[in-house]
Formats: sequence, C-alpha cells, structure tokens
Amino acid sequence: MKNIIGTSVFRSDAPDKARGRSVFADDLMIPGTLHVSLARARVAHAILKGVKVPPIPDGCFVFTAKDLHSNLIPSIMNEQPVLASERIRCHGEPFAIVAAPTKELADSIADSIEPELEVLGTVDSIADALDPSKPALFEKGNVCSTFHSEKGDVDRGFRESFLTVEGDFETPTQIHGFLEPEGAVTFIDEDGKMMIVASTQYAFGDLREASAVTGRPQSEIRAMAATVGGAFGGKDGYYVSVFPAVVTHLTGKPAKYIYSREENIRYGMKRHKSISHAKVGFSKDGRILAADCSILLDTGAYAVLGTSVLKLAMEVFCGAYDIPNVRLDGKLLYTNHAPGSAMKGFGAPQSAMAFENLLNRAASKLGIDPVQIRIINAIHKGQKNSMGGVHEHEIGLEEALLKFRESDFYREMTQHPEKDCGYGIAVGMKSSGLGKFVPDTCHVTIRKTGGGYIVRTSIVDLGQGSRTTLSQIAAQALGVPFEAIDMQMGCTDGNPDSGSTAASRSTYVCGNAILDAARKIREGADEATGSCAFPEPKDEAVHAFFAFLVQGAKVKTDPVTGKTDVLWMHSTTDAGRIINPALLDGQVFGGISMSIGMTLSEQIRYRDGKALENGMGNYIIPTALDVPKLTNEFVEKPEESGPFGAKGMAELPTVAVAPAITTAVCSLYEDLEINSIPIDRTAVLKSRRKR
Amino acid sequence: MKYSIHVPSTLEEAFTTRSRVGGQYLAGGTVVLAIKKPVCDLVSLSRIPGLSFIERKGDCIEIGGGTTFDELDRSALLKERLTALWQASHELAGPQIRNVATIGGNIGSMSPSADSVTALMALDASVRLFTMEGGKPCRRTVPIRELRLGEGEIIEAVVIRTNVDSSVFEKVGKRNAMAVSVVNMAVARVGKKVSVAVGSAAPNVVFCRRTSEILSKDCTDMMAAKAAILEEISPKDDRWGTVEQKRIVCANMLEKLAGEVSA
Repeated sequence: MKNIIGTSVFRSDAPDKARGRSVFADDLMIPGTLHVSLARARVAHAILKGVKVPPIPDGCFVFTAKDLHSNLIPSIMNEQPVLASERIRCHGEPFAIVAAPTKELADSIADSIEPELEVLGTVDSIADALDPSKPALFEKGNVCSTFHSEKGDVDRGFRESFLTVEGDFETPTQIHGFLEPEGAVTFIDEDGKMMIVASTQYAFGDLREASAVTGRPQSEIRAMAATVGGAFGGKDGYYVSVFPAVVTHLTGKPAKYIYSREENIRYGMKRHKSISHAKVGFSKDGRILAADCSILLDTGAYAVLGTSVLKLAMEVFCGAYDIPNVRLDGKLLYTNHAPGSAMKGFGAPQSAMAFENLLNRAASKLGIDPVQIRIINAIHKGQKNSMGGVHEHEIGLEEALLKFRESDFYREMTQHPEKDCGYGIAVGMKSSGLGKFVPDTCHVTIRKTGGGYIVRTSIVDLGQGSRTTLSQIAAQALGVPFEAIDMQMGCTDGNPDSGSTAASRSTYVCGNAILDAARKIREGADEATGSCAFPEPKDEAVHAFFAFLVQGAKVKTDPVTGKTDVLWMHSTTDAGRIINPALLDGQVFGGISMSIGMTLSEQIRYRDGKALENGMGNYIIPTALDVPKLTNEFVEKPEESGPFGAKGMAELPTVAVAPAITTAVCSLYEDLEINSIPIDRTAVLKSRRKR
Repeated sequence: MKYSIHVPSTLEEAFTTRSRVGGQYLAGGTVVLAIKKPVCDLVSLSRIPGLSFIERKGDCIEIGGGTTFDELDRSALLKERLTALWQASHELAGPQIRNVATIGGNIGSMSPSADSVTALMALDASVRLFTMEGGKPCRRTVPIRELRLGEGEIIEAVVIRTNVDSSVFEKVGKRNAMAVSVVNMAVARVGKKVSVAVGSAAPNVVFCRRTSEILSKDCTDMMAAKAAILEEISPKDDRWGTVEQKRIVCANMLEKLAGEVSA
C-alpha cells in the first residue's frame, strides 16, 4: 500500500461545500421553531436594577436570569453571567432571552424590553483599566490576572550588553471574521433528549454549558457540530447555543439562534488588544543577553479564555531564542468592551509584534543579517525556555532559518531587491495543546465495518481540513485506502470526548489517539477505543511543545496615499512531519491573510464602550486584491511523540506577519518606526523616503 | 425590514407612482438596501426600457441613468475617450456591486464619496433630468457641477462632451476593492483648460474651481494649485481617514494627476 502520509489527498469535505450541500446550523428548518433574540444593553457599564417586560403576544416567551437553573457560564474565572442580572459590563450584554414564532417578532419584543439602569463611568481602554479613579468592573478591581517570571540576572544582562533596544508597541482588537456567524438550533428529539446542533468547536462544551445553565442532566442532552463555516477560536469556551437551549428546555419547542453579522462584530469574542513594552540587550556579535518584556491585554468585560491567552503571550514573547536573562510581566485587564478570548495565535501575534520588530532594529544597528541574528540566538531542544524550563520536544527553528536563507525570497531580498520595494522578516512560534494544569486528553473509537472502518471523534472539521488529515492518519495506521475510512465527527452521542478542536492540538492528540485505537484493531479487535494525553511540561513552562516559522514580507508603499501593498509573503514552516502539504499551505495562507488584515486595516474601535464597527462594510478585512503572492515551504524534523512525527501548527502562521510587514515598510524610510498597527498611513506619508 | 417595491415600466409611471406613494427610487439598490432606514416604498427604475445605454451622439457621449458600472467598465469607447469615468467605474466597489449599481443611482445617492460623480465633475458632464409638469413629461439638462435634484426628478441620462484631451481618476480606500474612498480625485484637460474634482474631502463631491483656474493658467504652478485645493476642500475626521491624512493625500494626488493629464 502506498504511503498517504505527506500527500495532498483531495479534501473529503470539498465536494459537498462546493455544491452547497453542506448543512450549516442556519440551514436546519424545523416546523414550529421559536426564533431567539436577546435583549441587549445599550450602555457599556451600569447597575441593572430591574428588567421591565411589557405584555407580550401569545406564543412568545421572555426569560430573564431568574428563570435559569444557574446564571453562570462555566469558565476559568467563573465570573460571566448568562444574562446580566445586577450589572451591565459591556455594550450589548444580554439581559433577557426572547423567543417568538418569527425572528422579526423576537427582535421587536427584545427591543421593547427596558432595563432599569444606573449608568456608571466607562472603562474604555487599557489605560482606564489601570486608572484607580475609574470604576471597577468587579469587586477585586480591573486586574483579572497577572503573570510574572524572572530567569537569570536581567539587570546584569543589560549592564553587560553592547546594545540595548527598547520600545512600546500596540496591536488592535480584531475579530475572527469567519464566514458563518455563531449560532445553534435546539430541539427535543424522539428519545426526549434535548439536541443541540451548533456552529461550535466543541460539542461537549455546548452540552456541559447547557446542562449547567438549565439544570437538565448531561445524559438528557445531545450536542453535535453542524458544518462549521470557520471558527478560529471564536466558537470555543463560550457557546451561544445556551440561549436556544434555555428556550427549548423551558418550552419544549425547537429554537434557533443565529448571530447577525452586527452581533458577531460587536458582541462576539475578540482578539485582545495589546500594549506591550520590551527591552532587549545584545552583545556586539548579536547574542541576546537580556530581555525584559511586559504586556497588557484588554480582555473586555469577562475573561473567557483570556488568562490562558496572557500566559501564552508571555511564554512565547521571546521564547524563540535562547536568552540567559529574561523578565516577563503581564496583566490581563477588564474593560467595558466585548470579551477578548481565543483567536488563532492566542496572544502570540501581540508579543511577536514587539519582540521581532526590536530584533530587526538591533540586527540593523549591529550590521548583522536578520536571518543570521536569529540563527545565532535560535532555541534548540534541550535548552531552557524563557522561564527556565527545559525544552524536551523537537524544535526545527534553526533548520527553518537555514532553509529560509536558501529561498528565492531571501536571495531577492539580499541580492537583487526590486526597486522601491521593502523587505522584512520575522520568526513566529506557537504552542500546541491546552497547556499545563488544563486536562488535555483525547479519546476516539474505531469500529470495523463491512467495507472499512468508522472512526468516531468529537473533533470538528472547522474548515481547517481535520476530517481529511485524521482520515489519512487512520488509513495509514490501519493499512487501508483513504476511502475506507468513515469519519464520524463532532458529536457527543456515541462519540468519545476528544477535547476541543482548539489550541493547534487536533492533529497531534487525536492523531495519536487514532494510532492507539488502530494498534488494538491490528491486534485483532473489531472495535477499540484509543486515547492520548497531551504531554505536559515537567518544569517551568506552560506548554510542552511548539511549532516555528520564518516569514518574509515584500511590500511597496504609495508615496501619494501612504498605502502599503504587500506583494509577497514567503514562509518556511517547522511543524514536524507534514501529513497533508496542501492543507498545511491552506493554514499558512489563511493565517497570513488574517494577520495582513490586522496589520493594514482591521480594528475594532470603542467609543464609550460601543464598537464603531458594526458590519463588513466598515470592518475592513482583506479582499483577494489585498492578499499577495504566497509561498510556503517546510522543514520536516519529525517530533518523536507525534503521529508519524507531526506537530500542531494551525495558529502559527498568524504570528510573525505584522513584524515582517512593519519591518519591510520601515526599511523604505529614513526615519520611520512603526510600533502600532494597523499601520498609520499619515505617519508613512510624513516620513522621509530613502533615496 | 419590509419593503414594498413598485416596478413601473415607463418614466411617467415611475414619476406618478413615486408622487403617489412617496418613498425612494431604486436604481440598483446597493445603497438604499444597505442602509437600515425605514423606507417603506421603493420605486424601481430597473424595468424601464431605454435607460441603459452608452451612445455616441455628435461630439458627446450619452450614458443612460440605468447603465450599470459593469457595463461602463466593459465599454471600450469610455476607456478610450473618457478615461477618468472608465477608471472610476472600474474601481468602484467590487464585481458583485458593479453588476447592479448604476450611474444614475451613484449620482442620485448624493454620497460625498461617489466615485463616478468625481469623474463626471472633472469631465464637466451634464445630467438630463425627467420630471412631469401638469401631467406632461418634461426634461431639463443641467451641468453636474450645479446639480440639485428636484422633488421626484429622475436621472435619465448623463451627457459628456468628447473634446477631452486627457482625463484621469484615482481613488484610495482602506483596501484594494470593496472600499469607500478615503479620498478620490479626477483631473481632466481640454486644450489648456484643466478641471479638478475631489470626493470624500467635503460634505459633497467638490469641483475645485480655483484650483482648476490656477492649473489652466499655468499647469506647472503646483504650489499655488496645492494651496488652492486645500482651501477648497473641508474634510472631517471620519472612519476612513483623518483630516490630516486627507489633506496630505489631496495635495499629493493633485500633483500626480495634474502631471498625468498635462500634455
């Protein structure tokens, strides 16, 4: 049998998607469905004294916090209510659930429900959150969590440095921009159980949240992912299926709730806005001797997964390099903005913006090639990370840098740069797995059938292609053709819990669980459960292992308008053994496009807690004409513990884009330093262009 | 949002329907339907025959008010003779919008960033308007630089003289397609006479009379022309750009485009 690992087999979900046959949550039409709408706050911060519900038509329902078994979204901080009952902490925060036979009626009832409010001052920025004269969102204040770590003697490191570079950096609030907004349909099925069909990364998460809030036992609920039109972290940790689930639980009727695009943009979860400061000391020959890095993240009204985002932002801040003396300081801050949570990159793009820009400036000041300075400092297996823990897993950063140096991109950049074009490079790193102290296991089952095997997992194909890659792993492990694998994914009923489809973990942890089950099948079983526990770091670290990449950006700026056009992005990716090169390219190119948006045009701006952006006409994501030529190559340094040597890499490509582009832009000017994105065209226009 | 859409088949019927029910004309709908404004009655112009054409008539080109930007984008005549208008049509929004949005709709929307209006102002176009007086059809033709639409008037056609020697349009948005202009500008030259118009830099698209006069006198007097254009625009900070950015871009664009149209 030929090896299908490392081949770009045809995506198994493509034919249905291309022909419009895939069923998304909103495609489900159940007769008698109640349409759900939320009564949402029109102010960002207030004491909620009561909710006045006007008389409502027959067949319509309004539920408030007192109708819920528990008014708490289960989360790390356990501080987010399902429905505001005492306090409004962000614009758009729901305080009542409305259900009606039509969406229009539900919306108009929701509009007519008046909250009794005592309006409070708005905490409208990171600076506000740190200002003791501003109101506190919670009793403990506006600091949600902190991070501190110190390794070596940082002050001595700086004293011994030949060159020190330093800067303050800022990145914007960003949305996931998935094609399909958040949403779910719920109903009572023929067995009397409540069924949740959701656009979700983790059906078990929907199930547990619905159970906790309604009080309905978990055994009386089933959940499954419909076809999902993109997620990128925005459909995990907080599941909007809870709203129709409450309606179905309390009325027995089917219910549907799909976010409008405005709800998605204004009230959906966000990538954290960041303000960071970093100081880095170098020896004359380019060794990094000390790094002092701090970051402030705006997590909005509730943390959701924000505390983990902060840890990762700190862990990878200067984590790609072997640095003897490192100080890390971070704060996750509450503001009256929409909650910041997981988004592809999970804090890493924010810190890379600071560190990689500084590294490029230092390289230029020291007269060292930007790839060379990274080779000099690159982290290796067996070396210590920023917090002093030892890297026990495979790292291919140096190999990626060496390969990048052989690329057409590097040759053009260094030997024959195109006239009026700027070039810049940056390195990114991203962990795989949920991290220390978060249980991270995956179970799957495989059952033999007449024609092949059924593989059951709760992992969801969100568009990233995991249906295809996991099928490849199963087919290879079982020694059968790709077509003989029937993947049953994303459902709680009859499926083992494989954990969330998040944290760049699926290929690794689910792949390994499939290998475990396949081994038992090969040993003679007709049906087997396979498991994998994600390796936890033993010592001072948050995550056990990481993927890396080097990215180069080629740009042009228009002296008339100040506009930046990205012309070419080249990536060299280290993700262990590659299961499916075309899908890897897809992840790389998609991640780059997402971060080009953040670098050039995307941002949510708040005024008194209200997002100025409310539609795809004013929240500016890149179009096909804004995405450049994209090339990707990879180094294959197999990770011994991974399935066929693979590591997770889904989020990695978002990380290094911004500093690569900003460095490329600045290289065209005498006096331009870009420390804040999206790039300010006025600053570009006012700078002195190099001759 | 619920709409009643009336679909008249003649201009007369459109005018009388609109006078009867109120509401707005629908000439493509890409603006009206995107704004969540409670417009109950829409009078569609899309089924009225004879509103979509690009024709040469003597020393003019006439364009029907119902002509879509896709049709304008594909016109070789326009590309050759009225480059600025072709460029504006080519860069307006994206393919889906260009398939339905019409030049009459773009003019009638009265948007300060209407790309085609900037080009038409620089090209000194006129607009033929249809109305009814005493139950009889009645038409008037006015220069677009002086256009004030009367109650119920319909933009039947745009008329542009083809004696233009050279014309050019440029827009900059926050991205390369589907973008509202941060600034757009058109410059046209007829003999020595230069005309400049700017969009997104004032409450309306502006024909820059003083700037045009200076460049017509001496097309190299860029210092005076730039000073004049900065007097003639009145940008405000908006979500697309700041006052400072718009002013710098206007001055830069003027220099670039005036250079491009000069023989």
